[in-house]
Amino acid sequence: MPHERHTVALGFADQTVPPGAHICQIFSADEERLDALMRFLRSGLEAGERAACFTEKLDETQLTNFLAERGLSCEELMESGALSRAGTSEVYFQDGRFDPDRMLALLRQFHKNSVADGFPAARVIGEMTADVQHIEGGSRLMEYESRVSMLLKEVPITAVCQYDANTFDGATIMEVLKVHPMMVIRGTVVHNPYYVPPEEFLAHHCS
Amino acid sequence: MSVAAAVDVRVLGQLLLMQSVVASLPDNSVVPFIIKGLGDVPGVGRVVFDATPLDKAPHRFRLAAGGKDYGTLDFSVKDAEAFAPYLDYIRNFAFMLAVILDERWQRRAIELHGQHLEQQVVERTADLAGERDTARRYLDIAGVMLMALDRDGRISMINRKGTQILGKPEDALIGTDWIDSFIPAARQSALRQAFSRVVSGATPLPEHYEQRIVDATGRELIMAWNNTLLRNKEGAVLGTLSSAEDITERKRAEEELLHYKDHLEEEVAQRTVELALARDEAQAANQAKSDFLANMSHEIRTPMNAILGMLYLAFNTDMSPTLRNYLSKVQGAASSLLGIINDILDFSKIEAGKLEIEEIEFGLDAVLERLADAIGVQAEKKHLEFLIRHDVSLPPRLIGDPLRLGQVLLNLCGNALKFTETGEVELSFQRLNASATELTLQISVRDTGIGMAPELLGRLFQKFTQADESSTRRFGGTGLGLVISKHLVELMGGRIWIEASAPGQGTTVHCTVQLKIAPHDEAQRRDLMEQVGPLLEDIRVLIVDDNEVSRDILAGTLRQFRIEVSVAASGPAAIEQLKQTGEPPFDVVLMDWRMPGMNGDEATRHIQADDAIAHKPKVVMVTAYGRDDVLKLAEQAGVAGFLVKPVLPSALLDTLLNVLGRGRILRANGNGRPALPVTTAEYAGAHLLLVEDNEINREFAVGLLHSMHVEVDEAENGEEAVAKVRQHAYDGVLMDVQMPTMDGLEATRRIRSLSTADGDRFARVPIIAITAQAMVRDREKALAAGMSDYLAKPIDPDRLAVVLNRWIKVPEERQRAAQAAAQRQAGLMAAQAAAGSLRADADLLALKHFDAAQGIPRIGGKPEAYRKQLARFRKHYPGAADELQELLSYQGLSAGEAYCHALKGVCGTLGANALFACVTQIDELLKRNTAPDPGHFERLRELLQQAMAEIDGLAAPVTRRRTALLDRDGLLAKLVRLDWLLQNDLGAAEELLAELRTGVAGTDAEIAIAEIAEDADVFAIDAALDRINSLLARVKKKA
Repeated sequence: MPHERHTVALGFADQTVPPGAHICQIFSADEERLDALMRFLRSGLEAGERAACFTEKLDETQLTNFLAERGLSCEELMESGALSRAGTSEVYFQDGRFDPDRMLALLRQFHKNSVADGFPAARVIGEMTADVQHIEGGSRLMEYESRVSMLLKEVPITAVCQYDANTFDGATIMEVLKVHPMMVIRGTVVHNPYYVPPEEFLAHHCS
Repeated sequence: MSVAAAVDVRVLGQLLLMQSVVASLPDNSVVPFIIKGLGDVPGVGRVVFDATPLDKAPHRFRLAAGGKDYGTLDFSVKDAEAFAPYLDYIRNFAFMLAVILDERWQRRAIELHGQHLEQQVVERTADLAGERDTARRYLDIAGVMLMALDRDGRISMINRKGTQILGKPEDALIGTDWIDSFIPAARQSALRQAFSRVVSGATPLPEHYEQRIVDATGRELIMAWNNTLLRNKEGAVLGTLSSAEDITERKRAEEELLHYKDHLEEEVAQRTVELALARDEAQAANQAKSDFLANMSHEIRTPMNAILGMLYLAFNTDMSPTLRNYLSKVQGAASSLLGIINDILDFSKIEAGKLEIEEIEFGLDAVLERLADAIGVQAEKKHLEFLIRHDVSLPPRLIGDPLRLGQVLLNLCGNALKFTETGEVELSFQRLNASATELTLQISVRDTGIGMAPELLGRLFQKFTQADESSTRRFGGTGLGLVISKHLVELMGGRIWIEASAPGQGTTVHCTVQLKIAPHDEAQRRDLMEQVGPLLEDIRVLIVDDNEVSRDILAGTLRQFRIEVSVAASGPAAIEQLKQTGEPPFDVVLMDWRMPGMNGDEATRHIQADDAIAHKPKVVMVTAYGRDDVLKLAEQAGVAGFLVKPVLPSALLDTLLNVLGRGRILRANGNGRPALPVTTAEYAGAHLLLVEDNEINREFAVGLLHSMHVEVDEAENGEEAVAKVRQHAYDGVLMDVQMPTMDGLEATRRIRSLSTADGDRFARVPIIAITAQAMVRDREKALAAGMSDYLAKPIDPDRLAVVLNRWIKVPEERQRAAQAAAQRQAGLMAAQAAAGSLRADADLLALKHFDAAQGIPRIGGKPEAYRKQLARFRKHYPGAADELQELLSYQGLSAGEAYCHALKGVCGTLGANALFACVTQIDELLKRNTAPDPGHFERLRELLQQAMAEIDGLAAPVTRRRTALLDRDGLLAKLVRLDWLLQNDLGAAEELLAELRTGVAGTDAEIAIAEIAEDADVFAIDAALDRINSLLARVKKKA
């Protein structure tokens, strides 16, 4: 069992959060997204955690430099498996469909492997693209997010979901708020007043 | 104020979050986002964004800013009550939203019409006033105060509600420093610092709080604030925007509620205090009642005592029979009134819980004597027999409260007498559950009176109740007696009950009390029986009484002393028995005086005159009537003694021994020890040889024997003794066992082996061993050597008297001569005996290292002689420890043993108990051929030093005091007696007081006794009783 710390640092906010936090970032500028992503990864890697990111838009050089500022070698971290990256559609939309069950299993396995490989903790940051709304299984996005909240209670991966306000419509953004217990608002992590606990959310929205 | 309009903070958070998120959303997402979000506000069913113009519908919010109308938010409300609390916030939100939309529109316009930027700016500027007006309208319809502050804390915007609350027009408020103008001075500094931190971004702006402000008129208001920061598009803080509600009234209501709650508690506390006061008052009233009763009793008792005292004096003067009769009645009435008052006083003490039971050593006989004095007179007046059936197995010395026990007995027997017209009242005792240290005494009072119906039994122990209403009229009394007795008995650890009775069949009341047995009482009893036993051997007694119960009681008592008893129910029957021959003759006849047919005196005359009665027994008249005429008749008839009914065992034995000339052994003195035989005994006039090597011991013994009217020759060792016995026919020899030259055992053997011409003188002469080695084997050795008996050192005078009585028979001639000599001394000795005990000077009794009370009797009861012996001890033994140590070192164990033995004897005789114990320890070691260790000598040295120092502190022997001092126990006994007499017999109290005054002359009790006498002189009896109690306490404490 990895050593459980009381809280973990996120990198992009002053606060620390408990391991297994499920955080949503609604961003409208790409710089905002990338800044949070790189800080989140670097913070985890500095703490010896295993870190993964799923995004289509990551300038590798920019990340390498960013990590190097703190003496971290992107290449080495990737080789050692401490850091991994993949495209959103490669991970989320395998076979052209969005399968929440598979994604949840993937997260569970990620945690299991991390523990097995001796990492004290694990963290994931991923950008959900608006494409999800147009592919098979995409309507289960809120169900998926809600079940992630549930899963993370069991496997304490620290997870940040990034949503582009410019690509999702306002109503969907409001829905996204309801399935994330924590929000990043202008660099501050807050407990989300719109959050609906999974048991309740799943009962009302996915039954 | 409604408390239903509670705002869910979570909803407010959602609104704020929407505001925040909206800023990140693209234009086309804003409205869908907020419509969905607002749909979650409690009470809202659905929100529609509509471009329709604003109408007067209550929940339509126009989104207009910058002169642009962006449409309306139309809330369909499904639960108005739930929604109501959020109305102002939604309005606020709508305003904010309009501003955001406008800002967005402006930005888009700039983007779209870059080339017209300047124009747009001009337009925007031109529109500002209108925009402000528009915004103003929305602000003004708000039901809450809306206010914006710039970064410096100055008011930059305020709505109408705000001006109303603050009490100043908008013009006067804009630009005003908010903190300076409206925040109470005490809070200004802290708030200004907090505001600076907020606008600088150092700390977040608290979203909600309550704050006290002061309006333009100086009135303090409480405001509930909702705050948000105003930022420019770069996010820089411009100031704050706040909405506020005046909650002063609500708070006041809450405070009132709180105050009411507190007040309620105060009221409860107040009420509790009042109740406690009421309770205290009630208790005080009860106390006052008790005090009143006590005071009243006191006030009445004082004149009553005066009346009784004067009556006592009046009766001692000559007066006509008629006057005496009247005064007798006055005396009777006054006595019963005093009894009633005493009852009331006791009852008030019981009610006040102030009645306490003492624990002092006392003799049951003394209690019974007092009882007999009081009840006997009443019984005599009613011609009733008052009988006491004593259990001789009862320890004579007990520990308890003799006064209260006597009170119970007096009450029960008094009641029995009151309700009995003919027959008898019998008081009996039974020992229950006795252990070595305590016993339960069951007391029963049986009468042959009116009896009572079973249904009345239960009421008897209730206050102010007699058997029936008519009883009070018939028999008088307060009806408190039994209640008081019940309470006293319970305080003494017992209970009281009445045996089932029936009218006309008499009544028996039983009660029990717990008493302790005085330490050593049992041992003393055994000693007593041992002493008495030989004196009572072969006595035959005839009891003559017409009352069967009385016969039975006397016979039972005598049989317990193993005396042979016969009974006769009348004078003639007794004469018949006395005439009978063939049986051993009777030594004593106990003759009742009042008998039908032939009274006791007549029967006695017959006995004395009847030649057929060869052996004239001593007749003791037993009478319940101590009247002079009866005594005279009896004396004329030739009786040898008197006994007054009820007869107590001690008095009975004492009288028997007296009339038989066997000495008075049993009269108990103050400390429970048998007193010295003060009358002549059969050994009086004897000529004894005392063999004792120790000079001091010899002197003790000689003094003691002289005081017993015994002539003494002295020998210092066995050899000398044998020579003297050979030369002189002594009546007996007191022989020390351990002596130099020839010890007592050898001397005895030699005396026994002497042959003589005048019969077996040497074989018969009683030789009594005096030995400190009081072990059984030593006694056996003494007897085996031919000794007749033994006495342990130090010599106990009583024991010596018993042993001499046993062995020494003096020819009558010499006895008479001794009696004559005894008469000469009788004055002093009788006075001593009457005072109850041997006397000692107070300074001797105060000695710590010598028990003078033990030592003085051992040398004949003379304090001066004891003092002399102490001086002699001081002279001879100051270096005894060194001497003993030297003897042991240079002359060996046996020389040391002899010295030690002598020292032990002296210490024992003087009552130097600690020294005695120490020397005994050394003596025992030496006997086992073991050398004592230095610690023993050190201890001996130390004790000797203390003892010698104490002797040095004593006054030199002085001339004998004219009157002997009372010892502690004697003083205590007399004080207790005085207490009773002052309440019951003032005349007798006067006599006792005179006795006491001489008995304590020169001691520290002298003043107290004088004061008591003064009180008694003016009949201030209660004051006198108080003084007695404090003197009693002081004397006890001193012990």
